[in-house]
Amino acid sequence: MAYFLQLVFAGAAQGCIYALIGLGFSIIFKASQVINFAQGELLLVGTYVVASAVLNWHLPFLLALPLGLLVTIVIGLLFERLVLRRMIGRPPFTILMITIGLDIILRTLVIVGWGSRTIPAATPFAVTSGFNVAGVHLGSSDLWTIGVTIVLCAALYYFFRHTRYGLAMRATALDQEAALAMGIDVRNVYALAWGLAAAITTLGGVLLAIDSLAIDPNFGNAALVAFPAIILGGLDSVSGAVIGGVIIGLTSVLTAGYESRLPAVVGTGLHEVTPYLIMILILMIRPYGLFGSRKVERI
Amino acid sequence: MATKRFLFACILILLAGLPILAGCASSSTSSSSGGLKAGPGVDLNKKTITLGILSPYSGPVAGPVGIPIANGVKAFFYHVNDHGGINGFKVQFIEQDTQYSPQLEVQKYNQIRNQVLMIADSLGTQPTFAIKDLAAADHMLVSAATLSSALAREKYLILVGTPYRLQVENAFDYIVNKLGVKNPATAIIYQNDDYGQDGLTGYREAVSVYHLHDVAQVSFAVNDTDFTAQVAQLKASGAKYVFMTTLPTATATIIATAYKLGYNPQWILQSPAFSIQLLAVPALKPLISRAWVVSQGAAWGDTSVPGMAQMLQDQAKYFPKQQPDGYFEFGYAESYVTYAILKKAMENGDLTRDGLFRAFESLQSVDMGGLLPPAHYGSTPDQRVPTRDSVIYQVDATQPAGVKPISPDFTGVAAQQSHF
Repeated sequence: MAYFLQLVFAGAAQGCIYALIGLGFSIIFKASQVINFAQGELLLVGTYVVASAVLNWHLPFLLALPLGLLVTIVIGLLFERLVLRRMIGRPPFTILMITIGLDIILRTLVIVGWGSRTIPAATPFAVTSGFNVAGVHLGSSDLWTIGVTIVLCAALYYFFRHTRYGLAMRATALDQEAALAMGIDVRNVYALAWGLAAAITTLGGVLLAIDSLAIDPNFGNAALVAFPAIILGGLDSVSGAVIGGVIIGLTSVLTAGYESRLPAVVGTGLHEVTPYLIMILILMIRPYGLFGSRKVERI
Repeated sequence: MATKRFLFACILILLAGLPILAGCASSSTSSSSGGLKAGPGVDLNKKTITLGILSPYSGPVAGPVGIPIANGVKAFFYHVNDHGGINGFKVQFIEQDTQYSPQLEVQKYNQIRNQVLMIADSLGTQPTFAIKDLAAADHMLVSAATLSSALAREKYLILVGTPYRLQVENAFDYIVNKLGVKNPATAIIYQNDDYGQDGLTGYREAVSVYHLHDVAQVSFAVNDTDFTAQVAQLKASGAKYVFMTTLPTATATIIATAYKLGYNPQWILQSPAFSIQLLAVPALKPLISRAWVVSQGAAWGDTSVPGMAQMLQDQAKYFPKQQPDGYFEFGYAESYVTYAILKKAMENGDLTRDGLFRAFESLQSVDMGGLLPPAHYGSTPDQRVPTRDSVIYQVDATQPAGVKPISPDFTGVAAQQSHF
């Protein structure tokens, strides 16, 4: 039982990381209908900045974290202001390709700036810090990951429901032209979405790095694993990204924990494909994801 | 109708001419002078030999591996050139950036195949795998910076170290025969790719030969970031010795996760699983210091081996910014073999690709100045495995290379018997 609970706890923590990264994808898509393929590299840059701030510039972790968030927010805002704003009205495929370009540029900048070797990640915790309950180790970093995700989700709920900017974002997502007609500055909404998404994704990356202890330029690939989570939850659903992330995290870790008990031909590497199997299954039943908006078209 | 017939005739002529053109392409660069036959990449008038380097010069693998190995190769031959070359012939290089991509490797190989005599450095298992058949068709020798067992069998590929599979076997020989631990509870954690499969094959052979009590074989995906499930399995299995066929970032996370879960076995790292950079991770340093690494060769700066002083001089002269690095040393060491082949072919008066291949098969043994143990080559797959020995090192932050040997250089029973 302890073995199972340990896996559930690890899966929940891992799922929260996917949820945070997925939220970044989802917020941008909801506001601007763009799938940002540079999300992983925003996470990479932020994590490297935090690591350098702690280990090279000797800043406390609690100062380094906002610095990392600030850097990626600025990158997100500049990209939105200088590039994407000029692309409004262009085909989504063009914009998607531009985000792939940004992805390559950011990764190259990381390699040029920090080199391509493995470097230490910044962590505020000792490796063993945490609690042991009934044979299950509840690590500090995992507890913080779960806690931060819950608090952030609550804050986002409040933001979208009860603040002017949150309502503006929802209105823009619902109908851009109607939002413009109501006096909403859609450009500011896009900027806000990019800044918010960059910050949340970076937070997910920093929390992931705390557990990894070391990072390298492939670290941004973590965003790819979060991708099935947002498709599963519904690309334009913020709550779907969170629930999708937790589902993917739990199933992935639980499958990894039990796959060795299956015959090798089925079990080996099963956890690698489980997220995609679940995604396919859900999409077959609900093509717009668990919480995605169903498009109604006049025919 | 007449036009159609004319076109048909043209096509026939072209088709009939293709083999002749192909023959010309492969033999057009072959020439001879003063009794020396020369193949592609050899200029008898300018007395130059052109070799290819296919290595990542950009991307994540470039800095830690690709560039240091290529620098090692170039440093070796710059020294040779500055000391009169090989019988007066200077060695020059055509370098291509493969970005560690098999597709790019094939593309770059095809770009340079008619301009080089052999490939002096092809980095990586997957990229080299992609060109092995092309190289065989071209009779092109390729010095491959990989320890893949599958590639060790290939006729035109030259490896210079003990394959991964045999590293695993030697590690368990050390435990059973050197430390005297009988039926140890053992496990392996490996990444789910060719590299990991090579480690797993060695582990299974070791289980059979050394009667290990195999309690777990656990895999993970290259993109995995959480290893709790894998480590929980290892912990539940009760393995006392865990072999890791991993890469450094995964090594760090796995060892830290295990420590977090209160699991502290003897970790044994396949050579690529360790990087001195791991010792720069403050939280990891005390955890990894108990780990062993299976590798071979002289540690950087060990001037008790004859080739070290020269290598350090060449590094200081040609690549002064190069930090102490096992991969630079590897590139420098593998060039001893390339040099021996070129020298032998020159003595035989045959600097064609087939001449180089005959020279390679007749080498028998190449001394690498002690940087790596002497490599042995022959004509069967078993004989093409260059070395079968290993040294077990303990991670030690006080050493320049981050490890210190805890065993002599040895070849275990399983590694001696293992067939390729």
